[in-house]
Amino acid sequence: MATEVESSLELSLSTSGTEPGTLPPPRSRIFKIIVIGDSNVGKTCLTFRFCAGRFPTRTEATIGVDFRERAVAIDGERIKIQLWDTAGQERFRKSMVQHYYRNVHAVVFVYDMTNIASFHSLPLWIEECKQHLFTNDIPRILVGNKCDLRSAIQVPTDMAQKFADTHSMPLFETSAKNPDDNDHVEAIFMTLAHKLKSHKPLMLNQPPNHSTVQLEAEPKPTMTCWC
Amino acid sequence: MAERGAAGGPWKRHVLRQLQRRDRRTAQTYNKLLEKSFMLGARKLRAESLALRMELPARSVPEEPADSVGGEVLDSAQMLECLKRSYEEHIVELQRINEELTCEMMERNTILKAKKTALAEQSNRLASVSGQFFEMEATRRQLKDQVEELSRKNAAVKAECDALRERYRRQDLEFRWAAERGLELLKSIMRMKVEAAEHRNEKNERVKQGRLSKELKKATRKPVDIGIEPEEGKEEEQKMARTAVPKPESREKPWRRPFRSASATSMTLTRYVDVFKGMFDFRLKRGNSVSSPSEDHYCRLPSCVAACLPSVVSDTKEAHLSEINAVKFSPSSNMVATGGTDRLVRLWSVAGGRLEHMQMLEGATGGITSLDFDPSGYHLLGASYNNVAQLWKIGDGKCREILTGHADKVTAAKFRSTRHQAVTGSRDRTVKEWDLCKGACSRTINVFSYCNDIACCDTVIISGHHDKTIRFWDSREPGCTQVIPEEGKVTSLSISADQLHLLSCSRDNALKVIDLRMHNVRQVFRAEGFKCGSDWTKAVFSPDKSYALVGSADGTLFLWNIETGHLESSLAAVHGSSVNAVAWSPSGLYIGSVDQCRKLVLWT
Repeated sequence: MATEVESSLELSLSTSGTEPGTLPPPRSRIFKIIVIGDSNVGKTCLTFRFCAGRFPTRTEATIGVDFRERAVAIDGERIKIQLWDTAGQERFRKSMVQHYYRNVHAVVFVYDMTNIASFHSLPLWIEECKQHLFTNDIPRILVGNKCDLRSAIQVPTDMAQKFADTHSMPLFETSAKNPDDNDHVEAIFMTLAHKLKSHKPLMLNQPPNHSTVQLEAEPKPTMTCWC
Repeated sequence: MAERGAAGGPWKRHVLRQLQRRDRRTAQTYNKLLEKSFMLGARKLRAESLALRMELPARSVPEEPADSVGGEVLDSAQMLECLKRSYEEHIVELQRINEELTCEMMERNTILKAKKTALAEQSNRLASVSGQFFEMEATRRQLKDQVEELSRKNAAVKAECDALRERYRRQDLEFRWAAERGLELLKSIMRMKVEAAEHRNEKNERVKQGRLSKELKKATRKPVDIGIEPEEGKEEEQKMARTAVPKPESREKPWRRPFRSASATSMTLTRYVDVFKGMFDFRLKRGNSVSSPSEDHYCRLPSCVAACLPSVVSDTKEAHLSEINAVKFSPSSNMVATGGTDRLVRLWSVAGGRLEHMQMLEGATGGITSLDFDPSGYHLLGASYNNVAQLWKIGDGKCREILTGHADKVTAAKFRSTRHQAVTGSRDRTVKEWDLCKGACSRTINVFSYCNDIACCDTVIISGHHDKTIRFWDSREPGCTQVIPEEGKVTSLSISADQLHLLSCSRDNALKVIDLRMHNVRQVFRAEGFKCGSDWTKAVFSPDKSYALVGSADGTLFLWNIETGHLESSLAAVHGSSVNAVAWSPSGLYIGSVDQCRKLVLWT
């Protein structure tokens, strides 16, 4: 698995050699999107499907986090979508949670449509997200995976939609295995990237944000970093 | 006498007669004996046959009759009768005895029979019993065999059980070991993942910063029309005006040329301005001709908007084994370094206001007199007693360079604006400039007096001396450009962050603020109770230049407010002995002070 897609370790090793203090020439924007959810809902398969274009043949429980990047062009601008495929099992993620949420641009909550328990633990994930993110304007989306297993679906769409509306998140039902089922995985992430780039709110009925200065690329003002 | 049958008449007859006599004698006796025996025989015969006729053995030997025999024959008839009677009695008695004996014999026979039957019975019983005995023996042997077999089987089963148990134990051990190893691996993987995540985050940050700076740079080049009052026509300020574009809120305040007066009301604004100025002045040559444009110029990132006035002790530690001479915060304000006469440089982290010992830098060959961090915070320069200055890299704690060349103890070592240049001052009356890449001295300046402290500007080196002067040395000119006299031996020099003012401390218990462009003394600070404790007492500006801080001989820290010129506060009763050095963290949050009694105190 690690050899097929850029693994976190290789990337980190390659970038650790940079001299502290020198800035690498910034080529393209990086959107850090983290994928959160219970163990075995399909986070690794979703991210793999998006970044490598196919379904992984063999997956194991993700330990810590796996990084998968994909460069896309949106409106002519080159953008790197950095997907953080996080671990679902508690023992594999316990010391990493603050690293997940640091400087994150968007959060994707994933549940398994054939497993009602994974749907019921969504409030816990959302709570954790609230604890670690200080601002409320980080876009979050809800994705139900494994919709191709039609006979085993336990989470009906209306229940999921109601939940998503309560938390003002858009809902997508998809399948990493058969991406042509319902919403396309590619489409989900590209939509998210578009919204991030253009800063439009994901939910139309949200109150519009106050107009920001054109220069601010990220929501956080830069001056606060230096104090 | 020899009997010879010789013709000799008388003697032959004599001999013959003698012989006949002897013969008669012997024949007599012999005949008697024979008769006696005959009688005995006869008696015997009689005795034997009771009903028999008494016979007389007629044995008579034709011998000379013996009287005794005849007499005996007569007697013998009577005797025969007697004998017969006695013999008959004998016979009766013997018969009787015979009967008794036969009775007895019959009894004995019956007894014998009984005994025989008993014996037979016994022998039967014995036979049967022995038969049983044999059977039992046989069964016993059989059972014994069975027992043996069972015990063999038992032993086999037990051995199997033991083997299984042993196997189980081994497997269990292996399992536990594997589980432990699994946990270890998991931990190490998690650690690596955490590191990787940190790296990623950092990289993202860096990219973000880079992009941001690029964007800001782009924005500054764009002239935007904003309503700013025109200032005194200084070209510098025009540039500042342009850089103020990205921060529209700063356009409200009119800012003046900094430090035209002693007041610093517009301090915060100029801070902002300096931020951008500092960020973009990559092209400014900061060093002298030694440095090349490709070297890393670290922008001086002013990080403090306003320093907080420290009033409470945040943490104290007994930091060294003997006197501590130097204390310095790292530019990122998360570490403080202390060095003393015990030849150790210790690094402490100040996270959360607590001092945590992080690292110890070894390799100093003499006591440490002063410490300086380079602007990136990764290198530390220490000056030491035994005529050398040493450069450490903080990551691995190893001494990278040793700058030798001084003839006496090195009192101060400071980085210049780049990481590769340093200046040291020493008691051998020289100031040396070093190229740290080569580790060699690039210039030696004779300064005429013991140099107690050094401060570096972009182009100017300032040294404070034992002969109560402060000398300015320009890198372009060989000689001293300026001399400022003091009233006492100069113990320390400290340049403010904007490089416009110099704070000097001298042994006449006074601190002086000197303007670096006009080269005149702007302010003098004195206070009751402040005594300069040693020839190397250090005084520092606060990062935003609103306060001046020094430690006194009795352990009190004195703080003067630069704007008002008055003593702001004094922090006493913590140090028990003379305070050797003080340092202010660039973030403005902490103050560190060290004293002669090995104590390091962190104030906040």
